[in-house]
Amino acid sequence: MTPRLTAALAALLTSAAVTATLAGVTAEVRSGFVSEDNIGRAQRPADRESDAAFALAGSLGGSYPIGGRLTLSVRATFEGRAHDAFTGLDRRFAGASVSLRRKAGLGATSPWIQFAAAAEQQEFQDRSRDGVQYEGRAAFGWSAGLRWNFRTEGSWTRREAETPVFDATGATLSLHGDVALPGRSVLFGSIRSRRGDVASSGTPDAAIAGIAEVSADDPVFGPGIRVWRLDARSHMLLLGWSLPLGRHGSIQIEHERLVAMAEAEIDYRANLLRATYLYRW
Amino acid sequence: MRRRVALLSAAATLSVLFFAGSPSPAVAGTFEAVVLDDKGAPIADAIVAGYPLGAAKANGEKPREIVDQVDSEFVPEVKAVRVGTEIVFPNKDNTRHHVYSFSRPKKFELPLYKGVPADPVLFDKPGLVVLGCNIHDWMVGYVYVLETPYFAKTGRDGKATLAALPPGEYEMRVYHPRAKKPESPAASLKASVGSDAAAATEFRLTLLPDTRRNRASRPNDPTYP
Repeated sequence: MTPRLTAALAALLTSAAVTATLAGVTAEVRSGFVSEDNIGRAQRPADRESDAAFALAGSLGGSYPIGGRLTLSVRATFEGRAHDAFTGLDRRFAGASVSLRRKAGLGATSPWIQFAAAAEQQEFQDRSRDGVQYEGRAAFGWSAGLRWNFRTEGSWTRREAETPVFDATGATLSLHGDVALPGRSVLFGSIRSRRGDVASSGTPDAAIAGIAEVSADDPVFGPGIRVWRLDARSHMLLLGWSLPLGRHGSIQIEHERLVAMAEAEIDYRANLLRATYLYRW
Repeated sequence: MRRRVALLSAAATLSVLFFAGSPSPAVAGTFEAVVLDDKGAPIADAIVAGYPLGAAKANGEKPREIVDQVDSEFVPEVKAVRVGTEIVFPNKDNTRHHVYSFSRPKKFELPLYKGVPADPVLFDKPGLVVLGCNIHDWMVGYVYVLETPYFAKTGRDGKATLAALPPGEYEMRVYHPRAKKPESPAASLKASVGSDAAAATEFRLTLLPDTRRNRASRPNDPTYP
C-alpha cells in the first residue's frame, strides 16, 4: 500500500469514525462475483477477453439528520477485486463521500433531492492504471406508491491517472427504478448514458489509433496489446433482482449490458454479470 | 362471647370484601383463537379483539404502553392498545429517529430525538395507525387502537388467547396489517364465552403479499443514510 493511499485511508476512516460517533454508525459490506465478457473493452471480436473476479466492497460512516428533512452523510468507502485471469486488474480502492439529501416532506414516499461528492484513490496491480477519481452527483428521487421507486441522476467524474491514457472525464445521465415484489424481493433496473473518455484495449489498429486521444502499451492483456483513450458515448442497461436474507441482508443478481460508440463506427460491447451479497447495519 | 362474635363478624366481613374485590377465576372466560392463512399456515402479528355485545360496558385500566425503536426497527412491529392509551416511543438506538404517522386516527410527529421523548402520544381515536421514521424509510410499525380491553396478538404459531373475559356474547374480530383493508376486520364472528371451558375458534385470512423492503433491498441506494 502506498503512503498516499495509507494517508488517504487514515483520514477517511477518521472522518467516518467522527461522524459515526456523532450520529450513529451505518455500514455496508458487499461481496460477490463479477463476470465480464469483454473486460478490456476491445472493439474487435478477436481481442475480446472474458474474466471473472471476486469483489469485496463496502462503506462505513454515519448520517446526521438536520431538522428532520435534511440528512448529511459522510462515508468511507473501500473496494477490492481479485481477478481470475487478468490479475493486473486486481484493485484496491479507498475513498470518501459526502452527501446532503433533502426530502420534500414526511414519509417514505416523499420526493427528495441529493447532492453528493466523492473522491477515491484507485490502485491496481498494474500500477500504470493507478489514479484518483473525483465525482459530483445530483439526484432526484420519487415514488409511485409504496412499491415503486424512481430516481434520476446526473453525475460528472474526473479521473487522474499515473498514465494519461487512463485519465478520464465524463458526464452521465441515468434513470433508475425498482419495484417491490412479494416476499420482500425487489426488481431493479437502470438506464445510463455517458459521454466521455473510455479506455479500450486491443491489438494495434490504425482506425482506432486514428481517433484515439492517447495510447500506450497495455501489458495486462499480453505483449503487443495497446490501450487507447477514446471519446465515446456509452449506454448501459442494467436489470437486477434482490432477494432478502433477514432484515439486514440481501442477495443481488444483476446483468448489465454496455455499449460504447466512438467516432468512425468504432464501438465495443460488454456484458457484466454480478452476484453479490449485501449486508447493511 | 361478645369478643368471639366480634372476631367472627370481622372475619366474615373481610372474606366478603376479599372475594368482592378480586375477580374470581370461576366467572372469567377464555377465548382461544388460531389464525391461519388460506393455505393453513399460521399467521403471526394478527390482532384478535373481543367486543362485548349487548349493554355490557367494557371497563379496565389503560396502562401506558411502549413501542421501542431497536436496531432501526419498531419493536413490536404490531401493537394493539385500547382507545385512550398513551404510548411512549423510546429510541434505544445510537442514531436519531423521527417518528411520524399520517393515519387519520392519529396524525403525529416526534421530530428527531434520541432516548425517551418527554411526552407520550395519546391514541384517542379507534383505528389503525401506521408508524414510520422519516430518516429510515424501511421502518414501519402498526398500532391498532381498539374500543375494547379484550385483545391479544398471535404468535408465530398463529395462536392468541383472550383471557379474563366476562362471560357473555362477543363479536370477535381479527385484524392484520397485510389484510386487503388493514384498518377493517379481516374476519369476524360472534362467540359465546362461558365461565367453564375455553372457546376455541379458527380464523382463515387471505393476506396480501409482503412487499415491504428491508434496509438492504437495493444496491447503491442513495436513500440509505
